[in-house]
Amino acid sequence: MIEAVNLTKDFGKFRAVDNVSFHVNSGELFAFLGPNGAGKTTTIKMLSGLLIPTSGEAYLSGISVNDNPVEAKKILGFVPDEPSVYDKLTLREFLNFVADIYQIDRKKAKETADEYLEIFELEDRQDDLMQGYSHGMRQKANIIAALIHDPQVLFLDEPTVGLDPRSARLIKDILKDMTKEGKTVFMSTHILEIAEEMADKVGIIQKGQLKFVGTVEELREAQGTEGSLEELFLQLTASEEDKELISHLKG
Amino acid sequence: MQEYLLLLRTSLKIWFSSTFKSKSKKKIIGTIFAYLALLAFAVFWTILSANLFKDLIALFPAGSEIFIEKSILTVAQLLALGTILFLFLTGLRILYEYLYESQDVSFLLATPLQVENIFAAKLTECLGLIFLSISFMTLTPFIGLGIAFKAGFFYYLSTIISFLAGFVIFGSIAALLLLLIMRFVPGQKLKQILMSLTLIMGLVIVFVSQMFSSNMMNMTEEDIINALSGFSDLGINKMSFLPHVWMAKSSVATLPNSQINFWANFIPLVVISALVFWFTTKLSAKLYLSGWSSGQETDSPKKKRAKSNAKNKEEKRLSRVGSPFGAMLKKEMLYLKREPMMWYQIAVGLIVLGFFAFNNARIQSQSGVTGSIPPDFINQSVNLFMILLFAGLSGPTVAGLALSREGKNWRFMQSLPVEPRTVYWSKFIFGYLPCLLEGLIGVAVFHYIKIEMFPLYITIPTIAISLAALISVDLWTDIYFPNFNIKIGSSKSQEGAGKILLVNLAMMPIILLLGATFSFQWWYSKVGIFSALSPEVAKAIGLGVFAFETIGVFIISSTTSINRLKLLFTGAVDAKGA
Repeated sequence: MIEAVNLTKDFGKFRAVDNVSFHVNSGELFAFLGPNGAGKTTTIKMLSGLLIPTSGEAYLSGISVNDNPVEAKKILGFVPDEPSVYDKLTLREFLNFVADIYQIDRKKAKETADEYLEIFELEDRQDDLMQGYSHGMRQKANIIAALIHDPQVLFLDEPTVGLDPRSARLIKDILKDMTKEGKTVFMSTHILEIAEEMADKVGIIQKGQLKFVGTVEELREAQGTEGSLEELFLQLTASEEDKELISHLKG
Repeated sequence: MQEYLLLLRTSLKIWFSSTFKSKSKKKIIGTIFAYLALLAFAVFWTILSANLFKDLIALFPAGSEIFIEKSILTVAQLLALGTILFLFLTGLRILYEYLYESQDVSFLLATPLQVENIFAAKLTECLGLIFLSISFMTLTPFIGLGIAFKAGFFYYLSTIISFLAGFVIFGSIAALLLLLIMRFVPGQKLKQILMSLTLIMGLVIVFVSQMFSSNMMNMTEEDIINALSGFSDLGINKMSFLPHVWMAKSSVATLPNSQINFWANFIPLVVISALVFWFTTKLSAKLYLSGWSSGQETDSPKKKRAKSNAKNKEEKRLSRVGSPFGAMLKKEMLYLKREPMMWYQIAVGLIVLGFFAFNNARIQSQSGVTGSIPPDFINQSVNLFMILLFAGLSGPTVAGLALSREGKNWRFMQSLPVEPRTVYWSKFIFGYLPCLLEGLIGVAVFHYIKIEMFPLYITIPTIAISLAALISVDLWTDIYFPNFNIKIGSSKSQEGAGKILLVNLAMMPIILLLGATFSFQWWYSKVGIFSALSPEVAKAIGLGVFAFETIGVFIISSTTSINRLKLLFTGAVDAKGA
């Protein structure tokens, strides 16, 4: 379970995240939406212990991320927006490194790694240095590394960027399976179709402020329209000028 | 032509704004300081060269002008050849980065601009940059030559043009080679080959310069004249069709009273340079785009090896260390093993140390010092410090960048459940181990060739503790001022070089302090308050304070670094590129 309590982050005079509070239950997939620069990545960083909030608290399964960052990180998996892998390691060495950090049982780690390597079609490349990997392969490597310890909470920042359609579909299936197993998935994305199709709950953030948290159905009720998530999102985040432009384009 | 000039003008504008129009005053001051430092280096090198050439001229008796010219021409040709070799091997990597890795190339290739114009602009930009950056080393001896001969303005002008033309010839040939190779070799593989070639070239330069300085120590005036006439007899002057000969002759021909025909060398040089550039550019219209696409490709999957290897591979895949610290350390060690730049640093330290030991042994044998004479504390201390200095040479590059080279992976590292002290100690061992190994090799060599040293039970612990202190300071500077934008081994990452300079500067006061304390018994008698001490007491105080300082430096830098890492892990302090 994820809980954000009055999370605020200032960078100098600029307030990137402003008093954000919400909770995501176990077994839920939460899609975090917002325009560029809205504060999505900053919020994810604060929730996953990568950034200390200016004020407020974050809890993962009841563990305070600020007070016990190492304990909190033991139960989370993190997929950054930009894939980051160690170029001078092979994929297998990288996965062994992660398995050692999380102190996962040798046999279990191997089985999990083998399974994901097969799913993502990377078995043939697992002994190559990752410096020769393409963007998509690096992204897959990061996803496997985040899943190898079977995390209770998974954070994904734009996970489908740079992936081929098959891999994107695989990820969606994996995330659905995780939620069925009672795990919590927190994902930021700009692809609203994915959010609409998969998310149990959505959160919409704009200029650091949380505009909405709830199900897509609740969002429709709140907005009083029956449109798609894309339309609802645009309605909620667009300025008056944008709204006029949209209605003009629609004719 | 219009497109070519437009691209060049844009590149120049970008360079100018990124260098001098930064919003940060600190950055502008840093840039100006760096340029001033380069200028100071150039002035120093010019004065040194001018004096050397003056001395060389003075070696010859009056009336031997023709021989002087021949000798000077030999030196000039060797310098030109060195410049070209340097350009050809180290410049290849820079050319590769400019032509095939520049971020704007993908954008430019998608525009209606002609491919050959994009290629020509990138090649010109790159050659201009290489010319400017290595002129400080390669052109300055020629300016020194001009000063020694009291040459006129035309000498300097013709020298600069000749060098530029030489650069264009060899740079274009190097680019031509790249165009051809890129069709067959994947980008990553070629990059590794170029990196290895560059580092081997660097090692050869270090080795030759050390050998040269070692031999120069015992050279008489007669030896120098003989060596020069030996070079002249090799007949390189007669190979007048080679561009480096044209470069040297075009320059030397404009010295006062020269017998060499200037135009006979200058015209072919300039014409050939224009032709080679034109030819390479024309060829790029057909080859550049396909080569650039190949540069973006990843390595092709390796062919499956024989079944006999399968078991071995499976065991390797299961290889685990079982603890976060072990995992961190293993990662660092694999990096050390696989990064050629690290080996280069270590090899440089060992070569320099080897020559120091060799020269020291020679001087010792010439001065008749043998084991029967009681060992001298000063010599022992100097030798100990030399081992320390050379062993610590790789510290700024290895430990001084240990955290920064996490680069974009830092965010991934932050997300792992790993204690900051675990990260610290793995980074420390990563920096410490190669230096300690170098130090121990140094001790073994010094011991083997019987150079004056303290007993091993003093030497080895002193080196081990002192290196630990120095490495902890190297690491401290990186943890306090990390820069995750640095790309190790990239010629475009000037931030890396600046950072290493910063680490070296930070190390100076520490080394001076440790040196001053260790050598306390040489100078205590000259300082009033200590003058009454007996030599034994002074020695005990010096060594005691030295031990206290090294251990103190080690403890303070380690604890403050770990505390700082805790803040970096939670993003509580800013770090460049994090």
